[in-house]
Amino acid sequence: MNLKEKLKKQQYNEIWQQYCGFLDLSMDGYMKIQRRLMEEQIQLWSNCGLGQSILKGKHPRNLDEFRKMVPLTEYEDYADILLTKQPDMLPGNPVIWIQTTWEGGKHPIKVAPYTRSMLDTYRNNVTACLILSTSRKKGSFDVASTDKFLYALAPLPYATGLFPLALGEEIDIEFLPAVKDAVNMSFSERNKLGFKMAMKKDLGFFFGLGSVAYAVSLSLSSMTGGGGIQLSSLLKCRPHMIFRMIQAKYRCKKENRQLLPKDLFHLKGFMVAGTDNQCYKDDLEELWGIRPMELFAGTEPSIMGTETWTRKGMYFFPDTAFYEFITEKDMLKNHEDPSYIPPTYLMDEVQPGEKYELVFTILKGGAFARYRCGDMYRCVGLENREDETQIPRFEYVDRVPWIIDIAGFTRISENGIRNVIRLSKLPITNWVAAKEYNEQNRPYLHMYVELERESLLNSAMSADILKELLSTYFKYIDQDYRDLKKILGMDPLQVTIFTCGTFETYEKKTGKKLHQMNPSYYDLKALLEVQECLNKVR
Amino acid sequence: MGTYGYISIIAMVCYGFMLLMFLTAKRNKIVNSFLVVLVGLLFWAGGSAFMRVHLWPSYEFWYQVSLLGILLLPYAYYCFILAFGGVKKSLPGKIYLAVMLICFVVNIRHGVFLGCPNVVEKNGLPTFVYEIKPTILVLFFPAGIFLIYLFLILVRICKANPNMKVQYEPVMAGVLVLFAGNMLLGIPFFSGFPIDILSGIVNVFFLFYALIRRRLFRLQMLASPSLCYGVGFLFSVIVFLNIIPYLQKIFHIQMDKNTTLYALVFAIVFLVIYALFTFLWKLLVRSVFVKEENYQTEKIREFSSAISKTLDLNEILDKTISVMKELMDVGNIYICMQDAPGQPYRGVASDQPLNDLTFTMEEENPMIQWLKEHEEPIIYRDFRYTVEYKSMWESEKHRLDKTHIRYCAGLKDGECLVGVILITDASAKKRLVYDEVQLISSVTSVASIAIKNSRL
Repeated sequence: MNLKEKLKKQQYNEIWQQYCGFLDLSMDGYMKIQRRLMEEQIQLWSNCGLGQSILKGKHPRNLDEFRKMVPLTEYEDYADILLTKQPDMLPGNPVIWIQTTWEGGKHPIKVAPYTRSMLDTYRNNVTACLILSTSRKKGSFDVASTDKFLYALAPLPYATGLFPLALGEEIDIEFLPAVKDAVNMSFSERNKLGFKMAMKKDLGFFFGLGSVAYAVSLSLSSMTGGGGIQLSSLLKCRPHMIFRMIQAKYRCKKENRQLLPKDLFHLKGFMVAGTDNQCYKDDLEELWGIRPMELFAGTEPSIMGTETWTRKGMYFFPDTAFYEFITEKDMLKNHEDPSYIPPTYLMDEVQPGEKYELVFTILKGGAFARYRCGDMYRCVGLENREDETQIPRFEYVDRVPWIIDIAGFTRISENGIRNVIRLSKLPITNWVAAKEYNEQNRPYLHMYVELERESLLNSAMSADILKELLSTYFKYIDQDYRDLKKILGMDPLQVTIFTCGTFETYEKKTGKKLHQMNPSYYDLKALLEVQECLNKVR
Repeated sequence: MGTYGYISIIAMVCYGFMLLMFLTAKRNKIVNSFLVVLVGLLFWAGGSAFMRVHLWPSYEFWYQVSLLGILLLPYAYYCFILAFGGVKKSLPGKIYLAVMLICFVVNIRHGVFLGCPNVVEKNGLPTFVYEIKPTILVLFFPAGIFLIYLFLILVRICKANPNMKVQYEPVMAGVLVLFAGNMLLGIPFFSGFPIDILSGIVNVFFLFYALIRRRLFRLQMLASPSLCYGVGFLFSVIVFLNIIPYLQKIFHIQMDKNTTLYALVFAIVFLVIYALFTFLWKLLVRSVFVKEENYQTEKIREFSSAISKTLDLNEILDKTISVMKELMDVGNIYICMQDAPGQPYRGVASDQPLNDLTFTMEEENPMIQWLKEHEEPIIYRDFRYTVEYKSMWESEKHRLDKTHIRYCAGLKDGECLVGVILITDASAKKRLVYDEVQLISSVTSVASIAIKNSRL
């Protein structure tokens, strides 16, 4: 029986228990599920070609041996087998392959295989997210088959393309526009049509990346402002939507403001995934009148965790992956010294307040084992009285420091920036790149560069010129960077030119070399102080 | 006897029937409060009917009975609704009861609030005419407030637990029908028609349906002795009253002569009719409704007796399988046993000699773990929606799905789970019967004792 049939029979208790029952697990119960499913996965993974390519002849018999024998992995360890899509080498037969960009320029894409069992788990957990997004307290939710979903997701082969397919197996929620039509439209066409349909049929749910959801929300105001709504289109709307539109127009005129989505739509559930959601959540709440619920999701891990009705931290699903955590200190040490093997901790070993890099092994025949996806999480607490939970909850921090992720779209690495500088042939001698936030709390990439002394004498160089040139090459090598402008209208690069000799002076003064990606706040401050001193001297 | 009389009698028969049925039921708060509701309705309908036929002692007496029923009904519903929702009774209910009883006693003595009606002849028919005084508000105002309070309690229960909303639906439907029936009395169209009593009958069937959904009604209650004798008596009285004129003709009865002889004849005839109807009712109920249940009980008794005489484990398992096959419409039955703690559960017996027994279930299997901690069998379809199911391996799920497992029950030696019974579906379309779970429970508990003895 799927969700639709259970709703018809009003089996609300059973629905909650089936999809959200994991929230009632004790720590022991949670770890039992983790360990048991990991036993199965160890057998499957260790005996397949992919597993043996990493294990090199070893055969772990239990979890402890697995954690000792299998090294921490990254996509490079899987690329040869996964990019050639060899199902015989995999622990489970893949039903579908999901794709995302890799390091723009260096490697084009990453692909992740999904088995049927993984998709069953994905379907269950996506339904749990849907239910929890409408929940105001434990056990209560408001989902119906007649609900409408605004389509703001990237279609297959991207991970968000799985969402409507998986949900469609549980409940007949209508997507606006329909998925089969949406995949053939551009982003703006999809938004326009989606909102037009929503104004006729009303809207129950909205799911997207935080940044995309914000951009989509702003486009509504521009659509409904200006010329007003035509009578012919008004008559096609449902009576309660007509009433709401009239009411909204009157209210906006009275308050002298633009029409906001919350004036027209009373969302039941609002979900966001991706990075930098904390930059958009407050604005989205203001626009829609409901605070979005954050999910952990990704290409390799599928859907891993969700917030609850209290919106105070996310819980990892126990049956999606086996989770291990590297402390921030060990992560940085490993980054400095690649020969250092950082210890990992399990879910029942995490400490509140600590920041961790997530390492996961996908269960149910997944390909990835002890995989470092490059995401950082902070453990918010081990129990929660409001949620009545006894399992740890986390909040997403950001990518690991050596990857700069802007608005969930582009992942810029040190290699990527080097590539851009090389391709641009700009006379940059030294640089650091940091992810910073503007006054509106929006992320951007700030590059601090030092140029060759001679080039400053011979050619016109300014921050704006450098920004234009570098942006061009970023767009050239990175599709996602291009999409930032195209979809979100964002130009995330800012350039600051340092006085010549700044880096050298800094290194002489401090005796250390700065990390090029996301140097610490204090190191950057020290660098800026060095620059100021040099400017004063000159 | 007009429409009023017939509908009142039908109402009384329905209430009486249910009262007798539930008197023998396993008592809990819900059943007790339902009995109070039935008593209230019986007083109301019965008092009203007997009032109209001027039954002994007097119509005033039956009027007071009817009034008592009406005044107590809100309290009876209050008890029922709270018991249904598992909520404790509070002070307002007791206050209402005390106030109503005091008003009722005062009303009997002085007719202050709603005095006895006067019988007036209208168009040759005796009609009851009530003198409505403003003091009647003293009766209806507290009742009205109490009903609003009851409604608020209901809303609070449903808000606290949305699942109760579904369970309360038939109860609320019944109350609405009752309310509507009483309101419609004011409409001239329904004048003279006992719409209020009819709505009472509809209402009680809604309550009955609510109890069926909570599985508080079992078919075996139809075969209870009190119900059999009650129904037999009722039919006997009806038949006897109708055949008296024929008996009088047959025996040429003259009531002023030989009254003793005729009284004896009538008594014997009544007794014979009574015995016949009671026997027929018992036969009907047992053949149609409870035959299967009695057959099952008998078979389990035989199984228990047979199994206690053997200490051979294989014989115990075979007998267990055969009794289950006899009593239930299921596919295959497999029994898996554990050689020693920590070992997997291996297939050792099945209903078909050619069934594949080479499968095992690991001790860490979540179904095994669940059976260790619980006494009841697992309905596999329901287990699939539990959190414990999440830790099942795909191979385990696949094996169980392939064999269309329906139930899984444990065989225990004290606290130790020594074996597991797997029961498959006979056909994919067969509905789940929750009585089968009860049956499996009964069989496995008997088998567990036998297995424990055999291992000593």
